[in-house]
Amino acid sequence: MAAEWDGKSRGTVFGFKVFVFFIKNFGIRAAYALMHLPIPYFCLFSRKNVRGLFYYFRKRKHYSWFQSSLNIYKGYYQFGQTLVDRIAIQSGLRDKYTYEFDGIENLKETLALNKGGILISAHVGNFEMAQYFFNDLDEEANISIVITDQDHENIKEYVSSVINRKQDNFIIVKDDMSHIFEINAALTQNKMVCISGDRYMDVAKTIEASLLGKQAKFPVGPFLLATRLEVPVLFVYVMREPKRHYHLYARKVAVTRRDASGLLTKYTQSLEEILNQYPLQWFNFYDFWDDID
Amino acid sequence: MNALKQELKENIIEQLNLEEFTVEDIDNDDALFGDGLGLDSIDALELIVMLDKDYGIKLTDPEKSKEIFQSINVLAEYITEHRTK
Repeated sequence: MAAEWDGKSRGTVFGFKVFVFFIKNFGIRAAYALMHLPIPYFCLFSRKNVRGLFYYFRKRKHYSWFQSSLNIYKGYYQFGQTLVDRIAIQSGLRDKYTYEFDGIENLKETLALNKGGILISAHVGNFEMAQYFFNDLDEEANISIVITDQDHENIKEYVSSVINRKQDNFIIVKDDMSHIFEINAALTQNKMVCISGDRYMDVAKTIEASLLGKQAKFPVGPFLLATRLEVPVLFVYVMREPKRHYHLYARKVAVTRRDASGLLTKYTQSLEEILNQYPLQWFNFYDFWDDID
Repeated sequence: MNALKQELKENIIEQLNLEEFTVEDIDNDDALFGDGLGLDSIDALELIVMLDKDYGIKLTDPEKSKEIFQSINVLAEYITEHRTK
């Protein structure tokens, strides 16, 4: 079984419409409760994802068989909650949540350098929320999110189905290398370019490193960019905590020029720390370590 | 023009860390991307940054850049015509 993400998000558009309806009419809690409906369906019919998640809990985090099974449900539920939160915040319910800006001074310092910055994140927590933290920081502060074409198709579909939001903050990776110019332009405008360091599509070149005690493949692009452009590099995560609380982590990283694998090692270490604190918020629902028969 | 070509080759080798190449290895007509020097998209980004920093040329059009990065000859010609520093 191939380890790369297959690019499909199950039932996204329909799910989003239902959430929006519920959030707007019955409140956030009702939308959370509603999340319990699709989870048994996912657990039963989304074998591939369930196996990926079970492997993560059982083999990588070393939970018992029972705890791992339970955590699949809990993990899905947290994932559902992050989706509800995202929609709620985008549709104007920002005040229903509390926020913690951990390491925000690192972002401020980066902006003050006026060189832009590369933010490397992961599919943990609720990274898409980062832009709402940034809006608080500075009106000028802007992030551009680098995503693949397939991701973009999914996002376009559901975003336009629920909200009228400008999508000019996405840089889409394309064969014609136009994303390279957009990344360059964004950095010259002192924007933050955010790239996910953990997920690759089959076309991408990969680089290996150990995560949670086992070698896994990572996309090489983000780490090459970050070690060659001489701009500040930060690891950024937005993690969900109980009682509708979001915790932003922004950590500055010392980068050695051209040492992509050194940066990757720092990244996996930082990711492990986050996963120790928030084990349920690992949202790579597939055979990430390419270790399932 | 020849001095510029020499300078470009030196800068490319240094900037992109092409340790296995010397200035003599790069022919003025060699393709920079693909089969020639085999540069990749991140190399392209570094070249774009270099053109801006060293010659004040801002490239924004991917199609145009593909033409410009064809070879040292084409690149040198473009720089001579468009440089602002």
